[in-house]
Amino acid sequence: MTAFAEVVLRAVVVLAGTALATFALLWHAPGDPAAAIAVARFDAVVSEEVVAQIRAEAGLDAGFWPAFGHWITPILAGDLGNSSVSGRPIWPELRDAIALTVPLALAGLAIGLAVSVPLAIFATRRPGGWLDRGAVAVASLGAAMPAYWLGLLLILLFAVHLGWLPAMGARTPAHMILPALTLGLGVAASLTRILRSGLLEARGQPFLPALARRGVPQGRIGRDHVAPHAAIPVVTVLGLELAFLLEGAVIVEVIFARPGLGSFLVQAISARDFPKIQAVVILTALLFVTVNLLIDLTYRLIDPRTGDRDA
Amino acid sequence: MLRVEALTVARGGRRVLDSVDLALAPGRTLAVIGESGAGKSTLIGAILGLLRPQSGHIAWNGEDLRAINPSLVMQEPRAAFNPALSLRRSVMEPVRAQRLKLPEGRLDRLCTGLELDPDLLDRRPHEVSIGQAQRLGILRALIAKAPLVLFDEPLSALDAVTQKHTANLIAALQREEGFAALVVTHDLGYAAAHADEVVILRDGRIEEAASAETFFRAPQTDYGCALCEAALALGALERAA
Repeated sequence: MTAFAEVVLRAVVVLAGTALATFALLWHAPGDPAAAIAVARFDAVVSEEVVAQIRAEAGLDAGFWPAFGHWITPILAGDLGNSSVSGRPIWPELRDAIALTVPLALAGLAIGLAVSVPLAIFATRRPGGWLDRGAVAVASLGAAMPAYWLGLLLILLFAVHLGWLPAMGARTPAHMILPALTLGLGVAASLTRILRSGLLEARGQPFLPALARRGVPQGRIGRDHVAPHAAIPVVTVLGLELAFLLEGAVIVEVIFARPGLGSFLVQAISARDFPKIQAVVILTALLFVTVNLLIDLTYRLIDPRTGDRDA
Repeated sequence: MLRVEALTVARGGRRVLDSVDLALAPGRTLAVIGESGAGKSTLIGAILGLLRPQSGHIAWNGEDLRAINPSLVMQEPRAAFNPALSLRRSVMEPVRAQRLKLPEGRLDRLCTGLELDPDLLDRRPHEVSIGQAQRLGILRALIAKAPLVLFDEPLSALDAVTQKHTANLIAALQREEGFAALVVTHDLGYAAAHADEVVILRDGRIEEAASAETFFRAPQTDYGCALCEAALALGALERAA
């Protein structure tokens, strides 16, 4: 089997497993899902007939596997279906939520990189020096600080005490600064630690010391020899950071009262809106599979031995 | 001319090299011999400026050695190359970095001399054998025509026939181009056949220093005698002769 076919097969198995696991979790969650949908849809206790009608409409009355098939078939054709509560198509609403969350996550990633890359480079110029030890201490503190607490501290300082920035909503670009900082500082903390150890390891490569003696300028040694090696753990962590960013964005959106994937998901879970929850989970799984595939390809570019080891 | 005077290098409070003096003229080969841990590789590191000596002086014609970009053949053949880069890029790096204009056909000539298929240069280090990697390390050290080449066990991964062939190529090129060669080796046969001078290092100090001819005819120290007797018993010296 070719490496590409293996990667694709792995992705299909992950997606199928995710879909099945999500459906099973919701199916076995306490309470009658049809009754929960009825309450959310009509905002009142409804008769047993209406609940039965909803059960039949959502394909919930025919058992686990037919219900799973009823849900997964249109998704395979690219149709995320309709909300079981509002009856409206899911995609337009989900697209609007993504359009708010993705820029926030990207801004967080940009802040994380902008802080961690120079910090790690300067810190490792003198390993064990005061800047290095300070960077490790700040990074450890940042990694230990939960996003919701950091978010509240930032609101307290910049919105309440100083009054420089808005804390709630998403009306202007200024509304994105505090949530992006909350996400970005967390990313910066873990990236700094990884990048620092990656750089120290890269600078210990046995072929490096003789390069300068062969007349290779320091700048080129850093660019061609140190940076690609140090990038390997960073690429791995960037994949994990994506998980942190999406998970963090959900929490941060709630703290800063921003609409987006977070509030979309929280509302869908409260209403037991199966199709909506599953749409988010499937899209997230698809995103992770794609990112992991890109990471795998990037590894092979940075260090061609990776492909050989896998083979 | 390379001149090392009173070189002392300490690591972890222990003197790895202790008051080492040596000199090496262009066109000459100095073999540095000694058991593992004697300080041979440390000597190379210190000469290249990769290790900070506690005291002593290293110079080329009285000037800073770094100005001449000395070449190095590392002991570990694969570790000598960046695994992510093609061997061509690594081998040609000193040429690019020093903006040298190579005589036409030099690369091909060296490849032929070292019995290396030029197509190997388009591979990565993990795609060639250790013996090939070692010869590619020698190729990189020789291509830039450095006036001083430091060899750290340059033939250790080669079979006997390739060892002899490679050693002869290095010697022929040295006669032609006049570079000074400092060779750290355990191989007394190689030293007897190709070195002009021999230095025996023991526990970081020079135990014995002599012309190769004198040393192999009549070693002056017990340790030198023991080394020569062991090499004779193994047939290494006879083979070289």
